[in-house]
Amino acid sequence: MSQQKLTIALTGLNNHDSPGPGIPVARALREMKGYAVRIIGLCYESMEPGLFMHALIARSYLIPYPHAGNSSLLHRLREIHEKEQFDLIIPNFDAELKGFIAAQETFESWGVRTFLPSLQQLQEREKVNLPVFGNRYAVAVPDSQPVFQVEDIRTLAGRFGFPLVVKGQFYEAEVVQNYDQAVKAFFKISGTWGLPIVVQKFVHGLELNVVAIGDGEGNTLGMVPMRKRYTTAKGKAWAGITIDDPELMAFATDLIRKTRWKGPLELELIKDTEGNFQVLEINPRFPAWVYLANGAGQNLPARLVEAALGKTPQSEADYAVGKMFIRYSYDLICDRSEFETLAALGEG
Amino acid sequence: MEFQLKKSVAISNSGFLFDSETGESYSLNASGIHFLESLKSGKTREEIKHDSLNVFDITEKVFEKDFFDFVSVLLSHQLIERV
Repeated sequence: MSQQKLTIALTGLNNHDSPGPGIPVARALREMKGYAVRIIGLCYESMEPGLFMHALIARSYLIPYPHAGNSSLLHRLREIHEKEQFDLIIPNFDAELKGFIAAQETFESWGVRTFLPSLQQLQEREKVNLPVFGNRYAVAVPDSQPVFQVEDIRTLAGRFGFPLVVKGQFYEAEVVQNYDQAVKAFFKISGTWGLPIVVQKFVHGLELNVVAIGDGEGNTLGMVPMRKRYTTAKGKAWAGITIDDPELMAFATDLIRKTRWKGPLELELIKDTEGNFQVLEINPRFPAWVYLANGAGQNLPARLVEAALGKTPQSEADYAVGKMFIRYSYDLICDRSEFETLAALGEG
Repeated sequence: MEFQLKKSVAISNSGFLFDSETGESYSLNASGIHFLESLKSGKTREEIKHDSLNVFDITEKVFEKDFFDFVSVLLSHQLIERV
């Protein structure tokens, strides 16, 4: 059977202790049935492991950080596109999405497809806006408040009580047991991700995750729920298992219907002892554990690509329950010259 | 009081118990497998006691204590429900 050739550029190749979703997405796309997929890696740092994973990533290019502005990003992506002629681009980081969403029309004029949420959808689910999101869509969320000054944590601790969750606006979260720990977490996380910091009430219950794709019309193009079975010190899933919770699936499907979400997403929820769900976070991208969905029978990155191409993707809801992933680390050996080329020329 | 196994709970022959709703898993010893299989097949507490006294070398008093302890653990993990 002949295969359609596709060149797909993607980000998120930082496959380290807090892994990005790029490598699992690339892996799923390389297994896409009916397509011969060539992956172009877009990286921010010359030591992102994905750059050196040649079995998955055909060519890699450094791109400017989001704070350099969209004109720098588009200039660089245009250069790369002229060489590689990619058909599709999949951004995999929260912090870069705003720029990629704003550039959608430009991408379209190049003949490059995307499948992204709208700017409004992106912003309304941001951690600082979560309480408003909860009210608007009638979903329970833990009490939270953005803080710009460390002293404000004391007031919030009085309201919420300890433990508290101290969160960065894009990434990182720490559960703290007292004011001293909260202050430390405030400075550590704000030092990396800036202000505000979000202080969230800690909710007891079962922590569950869902990966899904919304088609932008309220329909779900695929969905797999997962329970973390082993986490790193940063709370990242190092092992997980697919579960079967019809109430959770109904909740997530309803949320996608109400928000008319477009693109991939990860829901992080707590199921409390009464069986009620509280949304902790909505991540506007595939999670790093997305390859588990493929292993369980739903190749969600492939479905996203088909939707972006204007085709009707498979949307079977079945998946294998009890399918596990166990992450591992692996030493890639490469020559200094390879690193040198990437660092000096920005491509390799 | 009678109990029944939650529908989402499966037990393998090796005594590995998996709750597909929560993703939790547990390992059971021989008496745990016996109790769980009995609950799964819908046996009453009296029937389980009768079987257990035949299968294991225990007194009725030991059964009552062990069964109570085991059921308490299962209830705390939400693996069984009171009928």
